[in-house]
Amino acid sequence: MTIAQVLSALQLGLLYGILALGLYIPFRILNIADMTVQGTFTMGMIIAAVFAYNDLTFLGILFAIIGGALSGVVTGILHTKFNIPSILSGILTMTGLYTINLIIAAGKANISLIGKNTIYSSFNSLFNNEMVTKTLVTLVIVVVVTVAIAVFFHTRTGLTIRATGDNAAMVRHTSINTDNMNIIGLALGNAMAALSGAMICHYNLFADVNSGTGILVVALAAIIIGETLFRRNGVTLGLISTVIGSIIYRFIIAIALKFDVLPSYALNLISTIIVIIALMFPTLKDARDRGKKKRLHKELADYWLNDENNLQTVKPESANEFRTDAVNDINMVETMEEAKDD
Amino acid sequence: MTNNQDLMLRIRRMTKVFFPGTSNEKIALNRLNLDLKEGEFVTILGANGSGKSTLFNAICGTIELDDGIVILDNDDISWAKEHKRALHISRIYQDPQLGTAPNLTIAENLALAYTRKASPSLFPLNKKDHRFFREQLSMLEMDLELRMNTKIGLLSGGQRQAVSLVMEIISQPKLLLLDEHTAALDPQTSARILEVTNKFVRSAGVTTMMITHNVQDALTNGDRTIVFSEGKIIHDYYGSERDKLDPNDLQRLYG
Repeated sequence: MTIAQVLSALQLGLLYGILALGLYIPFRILNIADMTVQGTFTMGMIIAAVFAYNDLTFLGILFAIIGGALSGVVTGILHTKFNIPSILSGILTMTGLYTINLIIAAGKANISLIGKNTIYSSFNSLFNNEMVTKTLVTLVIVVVVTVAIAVFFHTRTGLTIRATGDNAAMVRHTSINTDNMNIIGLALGNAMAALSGAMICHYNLFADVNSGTGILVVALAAIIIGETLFRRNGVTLGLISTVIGSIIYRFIIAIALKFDVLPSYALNLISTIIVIIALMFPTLKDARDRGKKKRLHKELADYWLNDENNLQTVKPESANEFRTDAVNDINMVETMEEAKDD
Repeated sequence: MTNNQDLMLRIRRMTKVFFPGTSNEKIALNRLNLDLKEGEFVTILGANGSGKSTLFNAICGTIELDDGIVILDNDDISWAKEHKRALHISRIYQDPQLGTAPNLTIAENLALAYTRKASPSLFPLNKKDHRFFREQLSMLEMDLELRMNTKIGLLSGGQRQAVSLVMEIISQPKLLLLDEHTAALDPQTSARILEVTNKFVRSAGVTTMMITHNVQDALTNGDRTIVFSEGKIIHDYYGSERDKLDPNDLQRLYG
């Protein structure tokens, strides 16, 4: 890979990382699979494009965030106040947003920003190098956003939102309206999705009303890769590992496309396969470990059952491996139980 | 009884029918009347399905009443929403899982419970609150104050129940409802939690109702015992009459 390719994978990883954060908040913190994200991502793109087209570059980013947040509020109200299942609320808002996005774009399916001022071109004079500007501006925004979200989830409201996803009944008994907490969380998540869309629009100098297709899997891939590599930890580490997961995902895609095995329109299929593999990974690993133990167990059983004397003698070599595993497991269980008893 | 103004809780004609009009129709609460004085500690006995938990659900607003009035501290809460009532009513369940958020730490859980009484601040875990939580936890004498950054999910059932108890007490409720909160624990832990419950309830002077299936516990704790059957209060013991009661006689009421 050339430096340019590495940098572009990094940039895309960071940009889609914000989207992944947007999905992480409902998906992992609130325990809601929020489909709205697909619509708000496109909405962010379209709003940013329309504003940038009229030379209101930064205002466009702000309005994209507000638009995303409002869409999240709509999904939240449908889900909490009208008891529509969360997945259906998301689909309804997402579908409605398709038309709203077209209305914002004045009926046009796509908008080009070539020759227009973007957040990147505004900072270009600072570094005099397009690649460096794109990387640094994206990095700064992603760091600021991640830190802001992490800090927010340690405030009083943030703590309540986390608890709502953890044990909603308990939060209600603490005299807190869980409906509002879900709505705030969904608004925040969709605001992030819209921000991601807006920045990608400025990055590609292009916005399309259909660009949301397949975007959920991209965000999901980032979350799952992050969790597969770093386990599921607290909220701050979860946010960081999601962004890192997004970057890794972009590198996998870049490499997959580099070999020209599949055409570039195979992107969604590749994404889907990556997510499936990442999701299957823990189960496959368990099955493999179990198979291994079973084989060793058979060997030992044969050895011990064939001759009573063998029970007293040294075990065959493979037995050691089996025993170590088993003994380690026992030790681990005991440690866990001790921790519980303490 | 005493002047109405002194009563913490007044329940009139509380009625709840499940599956009305079907063959499964069940009258869970049958025009129930109940008065609780401020600071009173009442234990509740009754067979399964006699309406004890329905009473708690109705007071908390988990279920909607078919008929009746609930007045808490001269405030009619019969139609108030669940989370609004929770401002003044605390409840601990039999299942230790229900009262705490497993993925948050002890300190975070306490901070959550304390939200409604704490002085407003952006971050929930300031030094002052932290010190207060530590003091309260140390009253349990379970060394939990040394593990405030441990996730609740890693604690045993008894420890979780103890933390729930502290959570409910620091939120300074007007009414504390204990729904068989020691039933899922081993005898030793159960006795310990009960002891701590008494200590907290008496020091805070909070009006308390405790459901239990242990007749002995019902008579040795608190200062009044009521017995439920088919959605009605069939016995109400207090004062010297209660002191003279034989647990074995009471046991027969279940039969």
